[in-house]
Amino acid sequence: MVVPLSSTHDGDESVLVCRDLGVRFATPAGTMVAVEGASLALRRGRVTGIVGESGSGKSQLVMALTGLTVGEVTGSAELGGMRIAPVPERALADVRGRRIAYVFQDPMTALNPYLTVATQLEEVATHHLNLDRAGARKKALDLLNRVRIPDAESRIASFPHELSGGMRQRVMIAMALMADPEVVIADEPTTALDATVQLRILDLLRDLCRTDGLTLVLISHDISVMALMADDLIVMYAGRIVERGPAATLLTSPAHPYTRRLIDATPDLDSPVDAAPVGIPGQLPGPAGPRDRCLFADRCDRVGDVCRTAPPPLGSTAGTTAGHDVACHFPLPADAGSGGGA
Amino acid sequence: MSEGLEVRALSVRYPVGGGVFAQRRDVAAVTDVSLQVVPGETVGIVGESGCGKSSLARALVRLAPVSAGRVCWDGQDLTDLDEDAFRKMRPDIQMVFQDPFASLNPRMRMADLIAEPLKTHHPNMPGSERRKRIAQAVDQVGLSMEMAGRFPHEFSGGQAQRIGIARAIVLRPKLLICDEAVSALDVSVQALILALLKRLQSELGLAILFISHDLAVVRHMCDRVVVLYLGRVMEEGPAGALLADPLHPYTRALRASVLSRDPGVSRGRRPPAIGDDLPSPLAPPPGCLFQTRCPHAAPLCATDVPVQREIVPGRSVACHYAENIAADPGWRPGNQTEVGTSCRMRSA
Repeated sequence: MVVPLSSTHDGDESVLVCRDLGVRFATPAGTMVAVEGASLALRRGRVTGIVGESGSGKSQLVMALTGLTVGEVTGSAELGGMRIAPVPERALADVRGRRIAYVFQDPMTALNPYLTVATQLEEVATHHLNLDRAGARKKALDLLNRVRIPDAESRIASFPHELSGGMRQRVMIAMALMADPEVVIADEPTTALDATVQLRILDLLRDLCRTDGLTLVLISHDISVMALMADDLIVMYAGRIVERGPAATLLTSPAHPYTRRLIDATPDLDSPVDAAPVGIPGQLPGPAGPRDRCLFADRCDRVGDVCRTAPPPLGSTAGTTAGHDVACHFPLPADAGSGGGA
Repeated sequence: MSEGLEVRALSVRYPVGGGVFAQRRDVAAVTDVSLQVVPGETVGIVGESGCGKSSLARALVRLAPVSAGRVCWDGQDLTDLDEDAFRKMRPDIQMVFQDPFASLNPRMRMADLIAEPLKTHHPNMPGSERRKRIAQAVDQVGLSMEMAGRFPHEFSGGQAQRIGIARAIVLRPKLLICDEAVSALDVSVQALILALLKRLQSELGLAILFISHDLAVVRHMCDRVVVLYLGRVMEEGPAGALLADPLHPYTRALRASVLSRDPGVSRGRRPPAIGDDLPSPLAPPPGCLFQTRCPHAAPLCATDVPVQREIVPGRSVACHYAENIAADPGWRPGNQTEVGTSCRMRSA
């Protein structure tokens, strides 16, 4: 699937561009496709959301960018003009953690339980930026303050288990920022947190984007998190990008039936009481199944014969505005089918 | 004698420590909780992690130790029943757990998984009757007997949770305790399981105790809601009214933190003016448990435990100043002289 990237050449604001990126796993049972034909361009200073359910390939896609997947990576990715995928492992030493940093879901497993917050933060700056201990300590304290950890001077000596879940996630964000990365990838950063803490962490990330011009990739299964955070939104299903464009457009006037159904399946306390979440019967196709078709076809109520014989290309349609692409043979017309959402 | 579940002033305490050096202490997971669930009704238990939701549920079926209070079922006091008598009524109360893969034995086939509760509670049931009951339960949860020979790993998350529900309803219970029963599922599947639970409830007249951290799901499922914080009831009332117009500062903060799928709504959300950190349950604060995070805390809150009281018909709240806050959401005590505790009121 060859897809022109609308924002690659005009303006040239793109920090990271990937073309036709794929991730495959060779298994005894055959080749499993985790990601296929993913093309995207991250724009500087913006929040790009990637939303999808389990098995949609959203984590594999961003892990492939820095060689964190064990699968075979095809296609290409470039960071500021430099090819980063697929490249040999050692070529990524200056990219991973330095130019592209990650924040993972569970800070308790991502942080080393034997080392203090200070040691773990300072290590990033001494390793990547060649700062001395004093310089690294100063930077660590500065960042702990910026992620709004109260009493950072004493908390910096804490071990991870002495901090609450919210505080640990703040430490993870501070650690991601230690090497002044160009892109931060946050993979379900608030999924393990309570709602009150989730909103504070998301609010912090949003402020960091606004004030520091951080380029953020935010991965979540939760449409509502995207509604708060994303400027640009990518919707994935079964390893493919099925829709992408401005988040506000996708969430209020989606063109892909899956995006519409995903919104309608999300429980919403701000919708009228009788707007019950509507599920999507059927199952995700297996990663080893045939892919010469629309992968949502078996669960789609707009399905036609062509959906089962040809994969729909990702592109603009009559109903979409510039920068809004959809991969569907029968996309929803603009402003149609608001099934109780906004 | 009331029908359904009646919990009176229930407390659950776990012993902790007691090693060579550590003093043995008790941690209060649930304190003085009273609630009722009648047939056909769904009551939600909400609160953040560590609020005692699961301890409460587990105490009802003796999976957690009851240190005080009563659990009554259809007017019968279960608290003092001996093991044999408790086992006899145990089929009436069944649980559905969060992670279907963790709660299903990976080496058992679907039909055997659903047969297991029958074999445990009705060992003398004839095989033909047992097979009939299994087929009925499989049908009720929307699975097919063609899958009877499959192992749990051959099912999707939603299907596995259907097996978990089939295991519960095959005993024809009257009360279903759902402990975060849909939290691990994708929303496309979650909505289907919620619809299944609602259908089973109307078909079987089930009472449901629905434990969840997700207020949007709770509003959809529940008739009434009980809000727990550090093991105590903060507020109770009809789901719609409680979530539309919360009375307790804690419920207000929870409600204000829920995001919407509508960008226009979500982007207007600001973090509530409460601190991140739950106090340690080993050293709960004196007075109101919520006073260390409450933006309205007054000196009285640091000394006196607020009593749960009805301030609107059908709605009760455990807050000294609920009326003041209801009248003015920005209400603060006039004179702030803190007594022995810190009151953190950082705002975003």
